[in-house]
Formats: sequence, C-alpha cells, structure tokens
Amino acid sequence: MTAFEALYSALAPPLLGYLRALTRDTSVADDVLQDTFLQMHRARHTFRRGYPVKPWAYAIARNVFLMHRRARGRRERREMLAEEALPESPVRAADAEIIDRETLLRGVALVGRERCEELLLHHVAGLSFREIAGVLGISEGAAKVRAHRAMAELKRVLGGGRS
Amino acid sequence: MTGASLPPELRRLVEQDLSPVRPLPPPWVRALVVLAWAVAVLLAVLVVGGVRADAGELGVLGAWGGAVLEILAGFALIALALREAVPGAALPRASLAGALLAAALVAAATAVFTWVRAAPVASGCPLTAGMSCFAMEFTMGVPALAVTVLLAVRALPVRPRWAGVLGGVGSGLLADGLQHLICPVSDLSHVLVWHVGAIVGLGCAGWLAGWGVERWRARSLGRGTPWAP
Repeated sequence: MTAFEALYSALAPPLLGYLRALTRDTSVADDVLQDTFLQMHRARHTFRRGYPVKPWAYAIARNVFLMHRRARGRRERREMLAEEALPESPVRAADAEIIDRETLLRGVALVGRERCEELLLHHVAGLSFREIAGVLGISEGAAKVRAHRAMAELKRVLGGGRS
Repeated sequence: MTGASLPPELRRLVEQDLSPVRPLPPPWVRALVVLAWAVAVLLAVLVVGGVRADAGELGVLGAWGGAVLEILAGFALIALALREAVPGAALPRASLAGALLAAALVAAATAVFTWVRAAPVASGCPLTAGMSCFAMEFTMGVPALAVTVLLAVRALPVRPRWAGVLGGVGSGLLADGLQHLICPVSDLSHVLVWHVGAIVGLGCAGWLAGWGVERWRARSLGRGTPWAP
C-alpha cells in the first residue's frame, strides 16, 4: 500500500493536469483520475520492470479517458480552462522561455485537444518524444512533427492570427 | 514535486486486492502459447490424415517451407498483437500496417510458389471444395484467435481493435500454414479466394472481438465499475 501511495503522490498531480486538459471538466477529470489509478492497480502486472513508469501511466490515463468519453457519449466542449484546472507539474525552464504554462493551456483549449496532445505530453507531462510515441501509437518522428505543428498553431492563435 | 494524498474511496478499493501479481512475460513468450496450439494441431494432422498427397512433388521447401514460413509469420503477428496490448508500448500505425502487408505478401508468395511447382489437381466442385477449405481453416484459426484475444485482454489494450486485427490475421496465417499441409488443391484462384479469404475473415473476427472488448470496458466504466483485466 505504501508503494501505491508513493506512486499516487508522485503521479496524481501531473496526471490530473493532463486529464483536465483532455476533459476540460474538473469533476470529470477527478473521476477519470480515480479510475486511472484503479486501473493502474488492477493492471499492475502489465508494467514492465526496468521501463519508465510515466509512459505506462499516461497510456492508461488516456485509455480510461477515451473509455469514459465513449461511455458517456460526451461531446467535447471547447471552453477556456479555469485557473483551477491548471496542472501542478511545472513547465521546464527551456519551454517556459517559449511559452508559459497558462498560455499554453489556454491555447490548447482554443486549438483543440486532438491537435495538441503531443504538445501537452511533452511540455506539460515532460515525456520524451519516444515515450509519447509509445503512449499514442505513432512514430517518434510523427510525434515531433505534430508537436511542432501544434506549437506553430498555438503561436498563430495566441498571436491574434499573425503567422 | 507536489504530493497528493490517496482518496479514501480509492484506498478502500485498492486495499480489497493487495495480492501479489506476476509481471507479464514478454509478448513473444506469451505468443508461444498459441504457437504450441499450432504445433499440437500439426501433430494431430500428421497422425490422423498425413500431409497432402503431392507433398513429394512439391518437395520439402514447397510443402513444409511454405507452412513453416506462414506459421512463423503468424507467430510474429500474434506477438505484435500482444505487444500492442501493453500500455505505453503501442506501435506506430505505419508499423502495424506494414506488418499486415508483410502477412499478405507471405500468404501470396506461398500460394504462388506452390501453384508454380504443383501439378493441377481436380477438386470436384470448386465452390464446395473452396467452402470446405474456408470452413476448416477458419475453424482451426478460431481457437488461436480466442487465446490471443484472452491474452491481449489480460494486458490492457489501448487500441483493442488493432490488437484484434493483428491477432486475427496472425491466427489466420497459423491456420493457413496448417491448411497448406492438408489441402491438395494448389490452384491459385482456390488458394487466394478461400484460403486467404479465411485469413481475412479471421482478421475481421479479431476486429470485432476488439470492438466488443472496447464496448465492454466502456460499459463497465459507465456503470462505475472499472474494468479489470
């Protein structure tokens, strides 16, 4: 139980931020987070020893989110993220120079989750592009290209339409 | 790092199941279970009916080489399906499509190679012979597909339909490898329509199984009882 508590303590804040960005709904994100950790516990035998835990955890979180969306027939809403929906995990210093966390998440809400998922996983969750490829089932190159495009789109949107 | 405390409800659910678990073996090790089934069927075929009558004419490469090639390709696809089922280890779609294309090439190459080397055999009514082959191959593939789907579900497939298609086509190749040793008809149209048709049918069955898994899990979550592998 101690190990699970440690895992929860370390991963819950960044996962919640990721799920809030996906769901754009604080209460739904909380539900999905709880289901995610329950699934992580029940699927603990699938974790490959010696491999990083983050891609495994984010893949399960994304899977649970998709199942939730399918189960409830929830249509995605495009609404601005409230301050409380911001993730706890910090944006790395190098990325913060490009774009700050709040602006990034506001932009994601504007551009749409589907087009910014790689950006979220890289800049908010801190996953490498190789790890993102494993989570999303795409190639590493495709993850880089999509993140680059999303960043360009964000800059365009946040810059008021300037290219 | 900001810590977070475990919600009481989650703690209660986790505490209900604290039994130790065995880590999932690598995909190729789990795929050996399905390969063992194929070998068992192969032995049964050899004991009961023997190999096709023109095996001597085809030679070792034509008769056994094609079968072994297809069985190994099927094994590889099943291992890929089981890898795809592990969270965080999803394969790029281009790789999955490439694997399915390679499977099609293996089946087609075996069919053409056998057709070129074998003498024409009268198969009676082509439709009856074809349907009989289709039914037999499909029936041989279904247990392999069922085991593959069970093994995949025991992990946590993020894209169950992809895992199902890979498992279905892999099972189809295993079954076609066995059928290659049994069916005496080497006519290209017979093999491409009925034998390859069974592989495609098993791929579709795998997709349906994956779709069913997806719906089942979504319903479980909708009822507030998270799906457990």
